[in-house]
Amino acid sequence: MNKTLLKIIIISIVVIILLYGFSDSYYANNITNISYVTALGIDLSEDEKNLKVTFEFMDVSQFSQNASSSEGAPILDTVTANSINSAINILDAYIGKQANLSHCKIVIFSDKVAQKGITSEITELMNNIQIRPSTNIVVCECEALEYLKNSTSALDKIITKYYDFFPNSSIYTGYTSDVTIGNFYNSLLSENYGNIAILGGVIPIVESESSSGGGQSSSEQSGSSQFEGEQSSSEQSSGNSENSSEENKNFENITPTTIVSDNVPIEGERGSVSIGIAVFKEDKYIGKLTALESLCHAILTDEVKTFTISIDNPEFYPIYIDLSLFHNVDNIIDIKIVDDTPIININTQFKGKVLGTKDDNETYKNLDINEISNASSKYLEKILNDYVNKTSSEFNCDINNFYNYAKKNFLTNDDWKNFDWSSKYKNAKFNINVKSDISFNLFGSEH
Amino acid sequence: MDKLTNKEATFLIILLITNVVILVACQAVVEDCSSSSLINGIFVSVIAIIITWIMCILLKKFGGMNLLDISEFLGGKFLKSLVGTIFLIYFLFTTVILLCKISDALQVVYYSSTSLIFILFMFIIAGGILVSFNNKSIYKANLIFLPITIIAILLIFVGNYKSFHFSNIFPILGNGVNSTFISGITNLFAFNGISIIYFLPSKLKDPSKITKISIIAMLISSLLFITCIAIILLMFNNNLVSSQIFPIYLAVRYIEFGSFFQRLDSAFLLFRVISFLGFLAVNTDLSLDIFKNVTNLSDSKPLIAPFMLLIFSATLFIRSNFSLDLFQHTIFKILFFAIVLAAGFTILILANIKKRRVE
Repeated sequence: MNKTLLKIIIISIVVIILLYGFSDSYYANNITNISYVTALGIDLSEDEKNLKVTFEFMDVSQFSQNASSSEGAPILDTVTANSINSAINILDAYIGKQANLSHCKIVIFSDKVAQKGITSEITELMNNIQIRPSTNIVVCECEALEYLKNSTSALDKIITKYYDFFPNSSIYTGYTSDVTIGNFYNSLLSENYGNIAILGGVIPIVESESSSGGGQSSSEQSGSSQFEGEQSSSEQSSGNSENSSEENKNFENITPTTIVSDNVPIEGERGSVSIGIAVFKEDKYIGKLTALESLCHAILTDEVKTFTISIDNPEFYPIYIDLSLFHNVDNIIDIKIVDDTPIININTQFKGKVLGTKDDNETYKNLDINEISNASSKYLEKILNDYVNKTSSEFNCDINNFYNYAKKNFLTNDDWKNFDWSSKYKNAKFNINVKSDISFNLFGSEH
Repeated sequence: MDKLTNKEATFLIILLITNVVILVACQAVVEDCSSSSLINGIFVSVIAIIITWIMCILLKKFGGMNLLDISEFLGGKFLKSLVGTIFLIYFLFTTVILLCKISDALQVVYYSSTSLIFILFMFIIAGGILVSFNNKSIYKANLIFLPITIIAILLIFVGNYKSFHFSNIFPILGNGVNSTFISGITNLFAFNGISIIYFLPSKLKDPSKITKISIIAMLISSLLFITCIAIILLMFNNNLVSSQIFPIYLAVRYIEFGSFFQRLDSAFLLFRVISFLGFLAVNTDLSLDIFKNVTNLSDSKPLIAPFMLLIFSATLFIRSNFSLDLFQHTIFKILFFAIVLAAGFTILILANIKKRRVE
């Protein structure tokens, strides 16, 4: 036989074998056979034995050139199953496509699920190669389904954009934390230390003027256009809207020390809020941090870079004052073990500017910058001390990862394990030293 | 075959070492030593460089002779055949283990609906075609793809800098002095690529440069080895090392340069596959060369298909019947110490003694 002919035959056979072998993967991964999940919500079923897993999809046809609106409408489908993987299987059969989690931006657990412990769910998700380690993890003080239904607003036309950017606010407010599933899983494996997640909640939606003009509230609109998969969603959302005026809270006494996702002084078109931090001991949700406590967490973990504080306590400074602080130098944390008690020394420093004051007597004309710096340092020392004491005495878990610094005192893993940091942390003593260097922004520079 | 230039030879050694390091060794080191992995990595690297230097000194006296020629000088045809067969098995073994590892990773990540047989078949066909080309082409292609691998590893280190927890290096002695310095010495198997140095003199244009080539290659490989360990240790500690997928790939998934440059893992896997094909081709070519030498064949090209089939069958056999962990850690280490270090060094030392007596 001709040599060239033989080569052609062999090449043809090889190509046919490879085409045959890889065709299954081609069909499985073909974009027409895939539905991309943008968010995952996990609730407990009514009997509390199963999981109610809600999948949020984007209607990608909304992004086509011929689409009249740029707003992508999320579609929600809820499946009750034993586990996330079995829910995915059932969903695949229901939608006739393969649900793909590679674009999943956020995983939301309801507080009830989180309180029972989420090791198995997190492990399931981490074992799914499609889930990115950068996927954010949220615990909401309501049903995860409700959080998802209320996660769109006029400001964020495309929901995935909102999911992409909202955790970034931790860098310039400190009121939440950019907790990813990768970091959560790593902490979960770190032997009984604390863990955190973003804390979410839902507030009543308020009618906007533009939408109420047409006699339809924004939430009603969202109910009819956004949640095609669920009839109940529109009912829920409109219900929120109707109740908004009744539930309008008295915001006068709300300060960062009390603000948390289910108690926020916000009236807006988006129902979901992510302020505060959910605290886990091992894999169980045990408590939450308010906005101010979350800021303290962000300061101690060097997550926040710039933030605003308001000193409204004569104990620190005679008049109300707003300061913008920059946290550009990493904290110096040193831990000594004395008689089996961890002594945690924290040195942190800030630069800042005076943003404004509230003073009827115009004493701002006589502001003393050194006094303001001292007041800022004392105030921060106080809130940081309150915060770390809360983590050690109330939560009894090291959510600031101080153990990373404590490990330096031990030579081997056996020594470290024998010390049993998780039980010693509750007796830890904290020495916090804050140095603030405040200057004037635009006014009062002559002083 | 055209002889190798110094650069090609240096890159050849690095290619063999980096593939083992990325796919198998750095995972094993972090598993064994935990927080003292970096110390162990540095310790093992220094020992590997010393071993290489001694190996080169012992080889230098034989000019352009490789280990097979030296074995023949020492013990005649019988010893040559024995040593050839042992090293042939060793090279095929390393190829099979790494092929298992990368095929598994590809199947998990991209081809979950495709049988492993087809993924292996794809590698075997590509490897067979590469080997059937002029031998020099493999080494020349390596000059292009290896730098990409090196840059990729350095980029992974830089890109993941924000995810590093530098406290993971504490407690400094990890699982203890024993696991770091005594049993930890078994992690020398990461430098399994030094086995090629035994066969390098006969392939070099200038065999007298073997020490320089080997030491430069070992310095670069050590740097990559330590960087890989640092990436895994500082990111995951020893939490994720038992993963089926090699942890360096998992580390790439964490890299995001803003919202535009995300999902660099696909690119990394592509370069990993290309680099592995180089490894597969070089190891097969070396095995064929040894077989040709031992059996005195004039042409080894007709043996490419049977050899590829052998690798294919062995890979399938191991994947179907055994746990890969046993092979990639325990047996790999045992074979490295028994064949590359013990057998290879014994022959070199005895041959040197004989040569001195003859002279």
